[in-house]
Amino acid sequence: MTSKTSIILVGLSTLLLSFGQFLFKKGLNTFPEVFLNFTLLSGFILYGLALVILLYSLKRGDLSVLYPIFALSYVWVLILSGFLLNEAITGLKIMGVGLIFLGVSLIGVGS
Amino acid sequence: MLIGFLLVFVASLLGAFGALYLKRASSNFRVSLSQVKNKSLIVGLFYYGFSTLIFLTALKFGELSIIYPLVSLTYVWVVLLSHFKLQESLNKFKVLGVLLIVLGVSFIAYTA
Repeated sequence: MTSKTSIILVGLSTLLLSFGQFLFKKGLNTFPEVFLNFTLLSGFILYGLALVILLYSLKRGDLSVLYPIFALSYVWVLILSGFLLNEAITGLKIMGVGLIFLGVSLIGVGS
Repeated sequence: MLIGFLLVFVASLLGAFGALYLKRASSNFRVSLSQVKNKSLIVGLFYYGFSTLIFLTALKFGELSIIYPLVSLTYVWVVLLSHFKLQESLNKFKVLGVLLIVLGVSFIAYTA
């Protein structure tokens, strides 16, 4: 039985993680000469937060429900990179992400 | 972009090892300072940290929407590692899931 709290927490963790990834890429893009910049640091903070929330919620939920929610991070990242980083959202990428989402969900079901 | 792919490949493998050690560490995990002595926890975190650094390097060599999906290969490694090292059982869901991930990853890698 997966509590609603677990689901919400994993969902939140996923969003934080995805946004963190965006900040990583943005940080690496914008300031190539600086090792640690504010954007990169924020990415780390969000990433760390996401991991902590994730570890906490993974203990109290069915993996078959939590994995798919977490797999949505691939969807969020595709959307974020398309709109905020101007990367092309091609049909092949969409299909690839869809397959990955299905694959991760199935692994969750099998766990 | 090939360098990026190679780096993510390595990063995902390291991340999987990290997950393995963290799983081992979770059996005696409590939220307390004594966890500093939890060897599996420390090793696992190191693997994760290292994996993240390599992933960040990989990000410099490619688009986020191409590099990040490749991180899902971690799931593939984890399924394999947990089967051979932790004796967790394989089932049709895990196998099919792994195949779909590999397929999806190839689609995305192809766009580069």
